[in-house]
Amino acid sequence: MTRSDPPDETEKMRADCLNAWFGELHALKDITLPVIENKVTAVIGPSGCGKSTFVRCLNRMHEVTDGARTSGDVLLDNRSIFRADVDPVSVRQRVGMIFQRPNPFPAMTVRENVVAGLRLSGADVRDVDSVAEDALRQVSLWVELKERLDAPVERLSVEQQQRLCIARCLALQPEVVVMDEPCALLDPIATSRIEEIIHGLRDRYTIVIVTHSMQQAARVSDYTAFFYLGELVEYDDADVIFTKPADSRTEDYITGRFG
Amino acid sequence: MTSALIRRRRTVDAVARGAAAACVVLLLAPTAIALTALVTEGARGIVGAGGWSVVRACAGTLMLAGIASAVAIPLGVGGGLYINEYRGGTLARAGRWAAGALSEVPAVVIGLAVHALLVAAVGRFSFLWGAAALALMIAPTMAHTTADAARSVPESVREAAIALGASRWRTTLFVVSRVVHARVARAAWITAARAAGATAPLLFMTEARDWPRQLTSGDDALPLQVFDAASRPDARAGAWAAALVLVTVAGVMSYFARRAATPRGHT
Ligand SMILES: Nc1ncnc2c1ncn2[C@@H]1O[C@H](COP(=O)(O)OP(=O)(O)OP(=O)(O)O)[C@@H](O)[C@H]1O
Ligand SMILES: [Mg+2]
Repeated sequence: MTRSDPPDETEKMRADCLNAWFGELHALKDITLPVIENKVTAVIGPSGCGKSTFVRCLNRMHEVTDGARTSGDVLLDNRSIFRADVDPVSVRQRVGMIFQRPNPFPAMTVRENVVAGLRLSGADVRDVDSVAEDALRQVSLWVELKERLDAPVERLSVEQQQRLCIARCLALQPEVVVMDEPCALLDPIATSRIEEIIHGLRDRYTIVIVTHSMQQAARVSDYTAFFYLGELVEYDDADVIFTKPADSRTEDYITGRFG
Repeated sequence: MTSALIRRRRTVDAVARGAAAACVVLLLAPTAIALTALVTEGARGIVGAGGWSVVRACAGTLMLAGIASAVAIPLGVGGGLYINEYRGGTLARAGRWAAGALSEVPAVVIGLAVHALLVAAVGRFSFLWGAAALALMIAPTMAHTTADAARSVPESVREAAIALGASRWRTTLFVVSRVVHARVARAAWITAARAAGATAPLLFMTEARDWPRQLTSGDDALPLQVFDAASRPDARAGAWAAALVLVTVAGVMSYFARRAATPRGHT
């Protein structure tokens, strides 16, 4: 973590000595890590090292789990998201989240799903249809689905459901989008389609993506953080991490010697 | 696979299918006989008594079951959602226990309890007390069914809603209730139909028979009419008539139950 930031990089978020627990289990230890605006930051590391826990701290989803707590801080635009006067609801709207398993709302149509976030947050939106169209266009689903907006969401393929979940998140106009292994259940073609979408989203959003795939991290990310046993081992430009990592544990991991 | 083995499997399959079909026939036969008798005797009874009496009889039953459902179904559904979504809390646990216990109590005991507590103590307005007894049958069943249905909604769906900035109650109201809607609506129709046909909780409330007469010049609740008339040989025709009307009402309600179970867009 010795790299000096070029001047055009603004920190959208920052974890500052962040610790997280599940009851007695110390899942994250003193994580200090910037998230650069309009860039893709990948979080990699072996199973159980705390990747999901870390990203769930970024939008205060960690505290939803019974017995979960944190210490340290997470800054969004230089302001703590843990302050007493900050509403977790507004944090979650500014920092949207995509899960590993597509989780569209059952018993709703495609259209209802896209705008569900607006309804759920009680936002007063006049032109729901144009919000839906804009969100679907951003995930290249508009052309595919514009004739089927009133179809039950269960009829979509898993990959379409995942893109729909991304659209549902974007409809709330978040500033940061956190993705926890969004392609884990998808085949290579579907995966590359999602990766293309991530590329496109970078202009409008700041992205944090957890992935098990080194290739994916190398392909999509500008910066990469390597976690191991709840600690941040190394954070740097993606090409530095994947070509000449400073820590031997990072090198072991990316060359497949463990994990 | 040898051809002998294939032949044996075919034989076993044919025998099993035949036995199952026989069971269905055995099941259908008494139903068919009962329905035939019901329709012919019932029609004769209705013609004898005049169509107007049927309307009056219906009114009494629908009013009892209607009042009871209007109160008990929203209560049961709301309670059931609370029981599941806020499980872990003391109130939710108490509610789950009460719903379970009440839905196990035989209807006649509920009738007795309502009679002892309300009718004996207050005396008047016994038609409403009849509705109260029916409501006590409906609400726990609805709470139970709703909580069950809500439990089958995957946790990942609630998590998605929370991550979109929804509060707990909005998640329940807009997401969970949408998923359980069809199942709960179906249960509501079935439970209401069962309440409309229930005799036991009303047996003690002889006063229940006066009130609708005063209000609508209608007649007794249908199940009571069947029960009463059946025990008097001179009134058999009336029993048949009331029974036919009752079965028709239940049939119509279960049609709505089936319709409610088909979610929108899934035709
Ligand atoms: N809800 C929970 N309750 C208790 N412990 C948990 C919970 N979720 C995660 N943990 C524990 O916290 C640690 C970090 O888990 P986390 O899910 O963040 O790892 P991960 O890096 O995302 O793993 P994976 O790659 O398998 O998704 C693990 O030891 C895990 O067992
Ligand atoms: Mg994980």
